[in-house]
Amino acid sequence: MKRLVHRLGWPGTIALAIILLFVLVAILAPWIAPYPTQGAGAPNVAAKLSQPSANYWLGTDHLGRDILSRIIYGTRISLTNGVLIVAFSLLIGLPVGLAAGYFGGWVDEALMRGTDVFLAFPALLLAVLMAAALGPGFLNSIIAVAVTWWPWYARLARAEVLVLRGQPYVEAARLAGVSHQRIIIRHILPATGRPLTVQAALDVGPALLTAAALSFLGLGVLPPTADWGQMVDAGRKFFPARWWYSAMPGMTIFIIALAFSVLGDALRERKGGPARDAA
Amino acid sequence: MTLLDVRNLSVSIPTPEGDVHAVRSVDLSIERGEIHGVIGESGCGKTMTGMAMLGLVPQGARIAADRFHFDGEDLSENASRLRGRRIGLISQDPAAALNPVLSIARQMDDVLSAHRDMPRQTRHAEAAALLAATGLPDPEKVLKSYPHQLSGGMQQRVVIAQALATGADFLIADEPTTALDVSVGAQVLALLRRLVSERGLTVLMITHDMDVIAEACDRATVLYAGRSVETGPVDDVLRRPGHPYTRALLAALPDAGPHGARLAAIEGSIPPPRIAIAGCAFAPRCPQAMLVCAAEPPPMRARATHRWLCHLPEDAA
Amino acid sequence: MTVPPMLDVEDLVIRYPARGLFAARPKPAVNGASFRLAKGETLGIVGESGSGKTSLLRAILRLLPVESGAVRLEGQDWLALKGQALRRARQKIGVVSQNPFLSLSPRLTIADILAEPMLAQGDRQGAAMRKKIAGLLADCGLPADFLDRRARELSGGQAQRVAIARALALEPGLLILDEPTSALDVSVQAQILNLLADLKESRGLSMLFVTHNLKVVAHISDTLLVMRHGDVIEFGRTEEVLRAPAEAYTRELLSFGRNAAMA
Repeated sequence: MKRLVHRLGWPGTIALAIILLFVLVAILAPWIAPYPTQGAGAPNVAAKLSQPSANYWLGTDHLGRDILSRIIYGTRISLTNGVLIVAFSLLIGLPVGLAAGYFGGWVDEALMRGTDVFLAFPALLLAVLMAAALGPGFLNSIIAVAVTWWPWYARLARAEVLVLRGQPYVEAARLAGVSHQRIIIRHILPATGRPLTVQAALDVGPALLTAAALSFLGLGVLPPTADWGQMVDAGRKFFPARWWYSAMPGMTIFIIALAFSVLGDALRERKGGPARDAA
Repeated sequence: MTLLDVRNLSVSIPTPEGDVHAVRSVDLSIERGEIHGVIGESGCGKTMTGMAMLGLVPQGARIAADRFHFDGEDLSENASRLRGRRIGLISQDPAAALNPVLSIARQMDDVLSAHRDMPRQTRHAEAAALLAATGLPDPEKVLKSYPHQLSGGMQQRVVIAQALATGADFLIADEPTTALDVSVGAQVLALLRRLVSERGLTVLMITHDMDVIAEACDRATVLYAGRSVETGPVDDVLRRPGHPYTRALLAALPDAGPHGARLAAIEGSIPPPRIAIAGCAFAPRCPQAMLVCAAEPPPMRARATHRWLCHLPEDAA
Repeated sequence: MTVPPMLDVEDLVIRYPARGLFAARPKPAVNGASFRLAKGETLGIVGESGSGKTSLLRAILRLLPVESGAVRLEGQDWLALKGQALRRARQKIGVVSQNPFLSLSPRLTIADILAEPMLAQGDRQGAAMRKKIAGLLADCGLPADFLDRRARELSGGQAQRVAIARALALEPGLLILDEPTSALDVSVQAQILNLLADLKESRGLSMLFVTHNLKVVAHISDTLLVMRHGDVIEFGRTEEVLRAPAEAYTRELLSFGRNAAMA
């Protein structure tokens, strides 16, 4: 614990704790949500649009469902969204970047000009267009965001590989007659993996934010599945009189996005290990 | 006259696993106007000895000495004040010692305005004169240049000119030629020799290279495992070494034996810097070691001003 | 018919491409180098930075294209090899570079590092390979318990021994050494030079030893080649070059450190 604070600083440690808390909430949703059935989508019209109270801590929505339970269930969708977007993006971007960086020449030119095409469009606009073309839905919204996301990983991976390719130990493997495939898997991939995973972990935040934006526009998860972006959108009609409907999920998005951003900064400015004190 | 007088200097760095004895016991006596070589292999404490004189040891490190005097002043208190005024540093990598985004003129001027009270025009002329003194052929052109436009040898000359600009009369040169080609390094050493005789400088030359000692130094001190084990005029140390370690080091040089013959490698390795050493630190690797060597600190042996620490009598050396 | 030399380089010219469309053609990095390395001998190539020795070495390793000239390895046209054939032929040359900590992968154990070239040439992992690896280590003066360590746990001399063991894994006829002792202490350098002499003797190796340190290479090599500004300025039997250097430059390099306390 002390080492963690030393490495990340207090803000980073708190941000990490918040993120881990959200993960825990997502896993334990059915057990910790006050009204699990409402969280999963069952209406409770009798209590519709109640303001925050002892029974409904964060109030209820237009179908009387407990907002807290909805947010807790929405954590599952949001985090899965974020993780899957990043995972899909890595799945495309990493091989493209590896190949471009390692082989260079025309392979590099072709692949990187290809990624530039995607980077030429504003990311959110492209995601909206993709989502509109594919139609709403959980998987479609993920694909739509991933399409705008992967070129960044391709560029990052390529930059890492360009450095690694010139390392004497990689050259030594090549001079020993080791095949390209084996060099990439044994020497390049493990070394690129680490910085890329750190970056990817941090991107989960912005990714779930983009996914929330899509569902706010009605291009994401379909009701009755709970989703933060979609809740903010649905609550808009009752704003500001029933402010809690939009505000509570909105606050949640804000908190998790901020937590990822703070953790990202902390990791970038990370201090050395305890060795520094000794030297 | 003795400019630097150091007796039993030690530098230890506390770590969670115990103290690291970077320097265990170093004696150094450097006369004004000489180039004094400090030679040793990695881990012998030569760089840390130099850093202690500059007050640049790592935070938390403990410096102790029976005497630690520079021109009558106590270095354990005044090292950081004297650094950059009377004591200058020439490091191994001149490119790292110069700011890459500032012109040489600007960097020379910064040093001069900090140390000399003279108007701007005079400073420019002085900068040019100092660069010329380091053998740079076209000082005005060098002044307009940026570090990356100069070769390694030229950069090192600029660093030396900067050290002169501070008015320092004692230079600590830490492996000043290691990053340079042999022929360029030889020129830099020749320059240092010339500056010593022309300007009355004194130089402490830290190196791992016997050739540098032979080429440039008047006297030399051999360090092993943080201890000074031998000191004397270069001719004596290199041709009639007293300490078995110095002998072994000289015998390991590739040009020591006939062409193609096996070299006399020193088996084993230096003692780890964390352990305490009771007797002679070289005893475990010494071909002439006796029982007493590992148990008791070796006594001082001497031939005139050539001194070394060894249990073997003088005539055995 | 006589045995072809291990390495036969003829009028090799290496030139880096001009930077920019209208830039002048740069002068060659290596300007017509010719030399031969007989089987079982050591050729020392000496030069300072910018002398062209590194370009020459990289061209021989096929890491750099050549403009003109020929390189024959045991009589075979080495520059004509491509792709799969080149990869397979690489086992004839072992390479050791300056800094063992950079040339050994930080992630792999010593056993994995030594296995890599064998696996690349299609050997199978197993007890036989492990025994062979342990034998290689022993030949290079390291005990078998180093197998499961990683490079960063070794001293500079030990790591360089591992690098030499790897270079020998495929039993090459030619060992190319690029400043193999420059990062090492004098006493360790002596150990490595002795090891190389032993290996040359026991395995009948030919060696190409590239360095900026004339004294190191003068000690170990049978023939000596001195490069300066891309030109070969001296090439001959080591004893002869040392006895009567043709160029002032060579004399200057040899005399360094010989002015002991003359002043």
